[in-house]
Amino acid sequence: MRSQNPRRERAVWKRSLFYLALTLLTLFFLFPIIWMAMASFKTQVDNLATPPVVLFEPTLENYRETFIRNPFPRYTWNSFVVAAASTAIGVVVGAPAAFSIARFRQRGLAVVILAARIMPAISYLLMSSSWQRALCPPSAICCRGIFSFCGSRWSGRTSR
Amino acid sequence: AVMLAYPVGYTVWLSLHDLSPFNLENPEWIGTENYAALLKDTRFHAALERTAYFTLGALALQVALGLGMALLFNHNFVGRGVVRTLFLLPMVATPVAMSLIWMLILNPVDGVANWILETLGLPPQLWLNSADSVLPTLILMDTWQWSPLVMLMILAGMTALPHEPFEAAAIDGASWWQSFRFLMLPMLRPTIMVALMFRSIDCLKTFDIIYGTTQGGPGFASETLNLYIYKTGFDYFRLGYAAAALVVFFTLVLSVSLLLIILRRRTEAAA
Repeated sequence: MRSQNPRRERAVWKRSLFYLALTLLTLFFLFPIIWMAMASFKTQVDNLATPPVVLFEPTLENYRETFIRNPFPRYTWNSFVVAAASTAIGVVVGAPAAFSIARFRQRGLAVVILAARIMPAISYLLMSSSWQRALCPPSAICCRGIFSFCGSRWSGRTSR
Repeated sequence: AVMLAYPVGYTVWLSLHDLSPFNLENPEWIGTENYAALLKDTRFHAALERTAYFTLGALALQVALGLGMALLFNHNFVGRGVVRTLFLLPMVATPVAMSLIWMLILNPVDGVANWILETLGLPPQLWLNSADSVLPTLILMDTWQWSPLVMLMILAGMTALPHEPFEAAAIDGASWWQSFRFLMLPMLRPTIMVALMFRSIDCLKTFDIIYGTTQGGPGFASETLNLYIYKTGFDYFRLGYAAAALVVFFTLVLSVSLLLIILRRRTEAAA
């Protein structure tokens, strides 16, 4: 019986350490998001108060401002169009390319595509004439698409 | 391939010219003058150093934290699925919006971060507003956003590991540390290399959180390569010069990732 006790004590210690670490990490990762959500219901005065207020009278004014005084639905629609179109093009062009790389082990092509992913987006902006600009988004999107397909294949191989 | 090669080729072509809004129609061929100027440009050198500092710091923190978190989540506990999903929220958040929230939190005068520090009896910090602390703060922000991704990748690798070696080690009386150090880490190495590759490319290219918070300031204290190039091109309109810097930057990122690919293939061959 006596030898059992220290071991159990250690197990309890380990448990509590585990949960302590988990709680601290959760706080760290969630705090900014919670704070953002809280700020959205606060008035300007409450948001700039020192010390910061945790209990406050919630207001919907910020949301009213967002949805009514700004064309927020329009912004949402714009984001949606960009996301849908680039996903579609990325899959259509990326899937065959990724397949050929995987099937025929075209290392060189993979590196070229990787290079396109590496390229800073600014270099697309540097192009001055309009026909050059028209070319940029599709090429950027395709590279991303192809690479994420290769990426999933690569990580698939490692988890084998 | 044309679509991929064209932007690269055009950038290289541009880097050999003097192009600004004053001579948009006929850029002047100046050979390697832009590159020669880059060699002497102290602001470029400083930006290069900052990029290296930011990338190394962020990578170290993210891989360490990601590995630690993956170890935690590799255990079974109540509500694991829910907590794991919550941890992925930073990844989903938009960087620009988060920059604004961080500015609110980290405001040295009335931000909540300093209030927490003071409550805990620690000295308040200047965070993004001092040349000494701005890069560590940005590293912290990047870590907050992306270590969940590293965690997810490593965790996926961990769950795919076979059980037998660990059981054998346990029977042989290996301590937890021993089985972690000599079994789990070597077997996870390919996964960690993939995570490193993804994160190092993105860290080198970090733009949004820096532009969203400090725009490279205070002074030039957080001006990394990507920011410097952006400013040269679009604030100072030295397009040819920006292109030259871009080519150097691109070569740098490419060589780092090629190095990682080679390292990765070597670890794979060894495994």
